Amino acid sequence: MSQMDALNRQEQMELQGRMERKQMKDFMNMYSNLVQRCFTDCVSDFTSKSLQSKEEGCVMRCVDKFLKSSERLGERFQEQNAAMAQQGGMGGGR
Amino acid sequence: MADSTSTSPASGAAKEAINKTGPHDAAAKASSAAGEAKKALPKQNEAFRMMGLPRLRLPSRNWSIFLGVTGSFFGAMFYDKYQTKLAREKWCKLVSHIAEEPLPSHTLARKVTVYLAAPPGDGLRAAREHFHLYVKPVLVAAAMDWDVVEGRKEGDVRWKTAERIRKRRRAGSEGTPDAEEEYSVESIREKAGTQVYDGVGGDVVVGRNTWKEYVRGMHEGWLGPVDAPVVPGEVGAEGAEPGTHTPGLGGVGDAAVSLATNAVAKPPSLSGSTSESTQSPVATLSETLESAPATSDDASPTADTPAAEEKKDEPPKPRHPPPYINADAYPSATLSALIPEILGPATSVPFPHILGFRNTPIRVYRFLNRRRVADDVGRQVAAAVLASHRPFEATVSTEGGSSSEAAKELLSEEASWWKTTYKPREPHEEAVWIEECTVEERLAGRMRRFELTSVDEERAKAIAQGKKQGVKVEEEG
Repeated sequence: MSQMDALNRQEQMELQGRMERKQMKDFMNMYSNLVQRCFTDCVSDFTSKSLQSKEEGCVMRCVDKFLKSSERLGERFQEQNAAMAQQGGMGGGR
Repeated sequence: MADSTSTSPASGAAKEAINKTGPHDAAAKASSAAGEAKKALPKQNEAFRMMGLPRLRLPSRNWSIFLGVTGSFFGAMFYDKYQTKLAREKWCKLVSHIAEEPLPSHTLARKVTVYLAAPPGDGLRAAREHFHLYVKPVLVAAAMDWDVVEGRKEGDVRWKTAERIRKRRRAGSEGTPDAEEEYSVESIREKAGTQVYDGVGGDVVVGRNTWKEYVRGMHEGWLGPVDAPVVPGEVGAEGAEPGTHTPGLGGVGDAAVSLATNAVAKPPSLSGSTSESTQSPVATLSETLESAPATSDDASPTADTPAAEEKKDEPPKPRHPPPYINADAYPSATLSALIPEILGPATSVPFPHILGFRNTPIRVYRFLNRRRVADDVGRQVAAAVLASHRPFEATVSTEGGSSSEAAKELLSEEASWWKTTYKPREPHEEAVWIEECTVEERLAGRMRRFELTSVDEERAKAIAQGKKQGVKVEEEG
C-alpha cells in the first residue's frame, strides 16, 4: 500500500505492533462473546455440574455456527469496505 | 279487537274527551292511545319472554340500508384481505423448503434480478408497494438474494439493463476494457475464494412497460456495440447526438439537443436512418423552439437558446445516452460471442395499475379482488424461485412475420396506461413504451420463461386445501 511506504521503518513496526495487539484484542473479544452466547443459550440446568450430552452437542453446534457466521460476515464486510473505499476514493468526498 | 267495535272505543274516547275536563283529559287520551298501541304489538315469542329477553326490534329501513351497504363493503374487504393472506402464505410455504437447505459459509446464495419501473403516469412508490406486497414475501420465504434495477422515468431500465450486459461483455474482454478497479467486489470475492452460486439466476420483471424496456435493453446489450458509437457530428456539445426522434417509427435514436438536430449533417448513425425520417420532426422541433435558426451548422446550442422561450439556459438533456443500436438494425447486427446459451430465464409479474377519477369503480373492484393478483404474482415468483423454465413459444402472425411470445407478455396491461403515455415525446425523452416490442429471433431462441411445473401446481393446491380443511397435508417431495 502506498500509505505504508510513506512511513519510515520505525513507524511501520509500531503500526504493525499496534495492529497485532488490536487483532489479539478483537480475537479475545470474539472468544468471550462466543462463550457468553453459547453458554447462555445452551446451558440452563444447574442441577448437575457436568455437561450433559445434549448441552455438549448444543455448545459444539453453537461454536460452529458462530464461527461460520462470523466468517461470512467478515467476507461481506470486506467486500463492502472495499466498495466504499473505492467509491470514496473516486468520488473524492461529497 | 273486532272491526265492528273499533269505532266505538274511539268515539267513546272522544266522548270522554268532551265530557271530562283538563287533567283527566290527557290521561284518558294517553291510556286509550296506549291501549291501542299495546294491542297493535305482535305477541312476543314465548321462549324469549321466559328467558327474560326484551322484545327484539329490527332496524329501521334507513338503518338497514346503511348497515347493509357498509357491512357488505367491509365484508368483501375483509374476505379479500384474508384470502390474499392465504394466497401469499401458500406460495411462501411452497418455496420455504429452499430456506432450510444448508449453505456453506463461503458460498453465496442464488441471486435474482428484479426489474422495477414506475408505471406510466405514476411514481416509483406504486411499483415498490406492489413489489413489497406480492413479490418480496415469496423471495424472503425462500431466502433468495435479489438485486433491483429501478427505473424512475421511461428509458431508465433500458439503459441500466444494456449497461449491465455491456459491462459483462467488457469483463469478458470485448471492446475497450473498463478502467481497472482495484477493489471491486468481484475481485475481493475471487481473492477470498467465495463461490458464486452456480446455476440459473433469473429476472423478475414487474409490469408491461418494464418488460418492454427490459427486452429493448437486452437486445441493445447483446446486439449492439460494446463501446458508445462515435458520431462524427459531435463537437462536444453537451450530450449532443444528431439523430432526431420520431416516436412510433420504432428505432430512430433519441435526439439530445433539438437545435443540433435541425441542420447538422445527418451522420451515419447505426440505425441507417434516412434523411426522410429527420425531415418531419424538424417542423415540430422548430415550433417548440421559436428561435431555431435553420442554418445552424455545428452551432453550439447554448449560443442560440437564450433567446428561446425555455426558462433553462439549455434545452433539457436526455437522461441517458441514446441507445447504441436501434431496433431496425437488429437483423444486421452481429451477436456478441459471449452470449450465454440461456438468456437469464425471465418471468413477468402482472402489475395492474389504473389511474383516473372516472375509473374509480374499476379501482374499487380491483381493490376488492386483490387476492387474484396475489395468487397470480405469487405463482410467477414461485416459478422463478423454483427455477423451472421453458423456452418462449414462437407464434407466426398473420402478416407473415413471426413474433415470439416474449413480445406479447402482459400485453393486456397497455389498455390501462394513462393517456399521457401516448402523447408525442419531447426530443430529450425516450419512447420505449409506445414503440413496438421487437424480439429478434436469435435472442428469442435463447430466452427462457419461468413456469411452474404441474407437480408444483399440485403441491400448491394441496397446501391451499390443507389450510382450508384445517388438516395438515403432507407435502410430497
